[in-house]
Amino acid sequence: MPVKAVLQTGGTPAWARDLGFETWALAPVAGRPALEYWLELCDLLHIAEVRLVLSDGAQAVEAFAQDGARWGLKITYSFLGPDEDPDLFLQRSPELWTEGLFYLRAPLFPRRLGEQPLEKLNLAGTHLHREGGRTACLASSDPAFLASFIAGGELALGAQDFNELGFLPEPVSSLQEYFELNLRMVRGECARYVSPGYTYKDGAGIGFNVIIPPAARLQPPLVIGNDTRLGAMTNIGPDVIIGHHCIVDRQSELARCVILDGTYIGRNLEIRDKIVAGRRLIDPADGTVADIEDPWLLATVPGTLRPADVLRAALGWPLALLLALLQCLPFLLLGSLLKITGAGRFASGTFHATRRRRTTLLTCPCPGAGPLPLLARLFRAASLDLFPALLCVLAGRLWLCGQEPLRVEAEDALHREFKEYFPAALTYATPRAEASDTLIKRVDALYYAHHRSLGEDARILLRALCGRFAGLFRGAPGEPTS
Amino acid sequence: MAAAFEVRNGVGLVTMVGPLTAGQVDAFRAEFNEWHKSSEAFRNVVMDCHGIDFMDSSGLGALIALLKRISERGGDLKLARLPKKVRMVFEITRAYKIFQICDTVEEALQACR
Repeated sequence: MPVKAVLQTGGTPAWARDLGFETWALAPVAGRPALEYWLELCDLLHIAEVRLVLSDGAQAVEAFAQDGARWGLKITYSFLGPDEDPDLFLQRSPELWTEGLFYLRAPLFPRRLGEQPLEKLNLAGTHLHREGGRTACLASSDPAFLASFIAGGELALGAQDFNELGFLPEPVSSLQEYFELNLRMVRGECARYVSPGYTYKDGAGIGFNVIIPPAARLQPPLVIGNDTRLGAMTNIGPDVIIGHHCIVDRQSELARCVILDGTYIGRNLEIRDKIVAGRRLIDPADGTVADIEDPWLLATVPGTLRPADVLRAALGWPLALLLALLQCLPFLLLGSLLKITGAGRFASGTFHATRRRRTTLLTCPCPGAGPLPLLARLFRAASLDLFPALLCVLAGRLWLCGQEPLRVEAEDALHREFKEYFPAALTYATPRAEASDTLIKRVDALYYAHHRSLGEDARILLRALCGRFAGLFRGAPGEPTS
Repeated sequence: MAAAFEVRNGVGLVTMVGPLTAGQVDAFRAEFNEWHKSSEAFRNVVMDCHGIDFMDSSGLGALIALLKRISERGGDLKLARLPKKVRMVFEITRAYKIFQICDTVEEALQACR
């Protein structure tokens, strides 16, 4: 019988509000939203269909979970008004849930009990966890029990707790509990939840594109999220969780603390036994919250343009104009020939452009689609396929050099992930023969966001144009770059 | 920001009320300097910070400047009754290593004798 999951994501406990979240479900635990742990658990329990019941922070939850394909789940959404009783949701269509239900009602964390990551589990019988005299988490494949529960009964006869399944729903009801949960995770429990692409060797989990200068000192256990920068002579650890897109400036010392996503820690600071969320400093011991006004102490990492970006744009535009003028005639001639001979074809797609706009971009010929005919190779070696993108640069919709433009819909999740997005005609991927996968795109984009400069743009430009041209003589359409 | 200055048992006592931020530090510093210059009856100063509801790095800088001025006259500056939020700023900036922080004014006065 297919078991379905209903996860209530609404409700903003005071601790989540203090951290700056509209819903507890998106508050990160060891760098990942709490909801993600539940979704992973659904997959382990062979649950394919998940209904997320939204309330507070609905938009953010939907943007995060989307259709659930990331976890191999099919996620659908329902909405509950702020004054509605969560349990009444099940009564709207009880017949949907009586075959088997995994139900989460309250802000809980699925703490795994074993030392190793959980294997796939079979849900049998009835498991129940209560908080404050009410059912907070329930898993059952007993139709009679479920019918009674949904009808409003709180029968728990014969129900077991969740220990047998290898996890325990644990309440998070204060900043102190949230802090301790994070510390427990970093002190070793993190290894039980390792997600694909990550490891937790030697008590350290470090994300993509984390910049650690040689003079920085790391003392595990610690977790550092993607795209985070540590300054020289920083001392990080032990028991430190740093989120994604953070900057820890030089000579700062961090120990026993949780730094949430997008936080800037100023120079020569000492953060101990604290939670930092942007410019908000929190002492979890007593829940004191202090908003720091000085941006050189604590701040939210801005995703704004640097002054050097203006210079890059100012130099990029005339260069794009020059390249477009040089390519105009060859593009028309060879493009027409390509079309007539069928050696290549143009494909159009909608991409995320600059300033939250979208742009339609022609790509031709498609890389990675097998050996290209000579004419198409010539077209590519002369970078004539970039001509439409250069026109977009002239229209102000793309940068000349930067990150790979991301496709609308197909790559929306990646687009949301990037704090700094510089879609461009020429990228690290331009000389490559094969299309970039999501991982490479993410790494390239994060690297560029940190290292962008006139020099880096010149490197991209030369590598792109020369790499492609050299590829012609090697008999391949291009060559991978380092 | 309002500050009251007095001398108690041979120790200067400054009681501050309100925020100590960039907008107030110049006035506070001028007021303190005038009082400190005119009085020769004490060397040590206790600052009752209970009434400070907010302090930024400018306020912290002002306190460090006062400490320097008092130290030059052979005295010491002790802080008493720091509110939790201000104490947190002291903790992250490591200012707690520079100042002696006491829980009560009496304790700070005692420490000055």
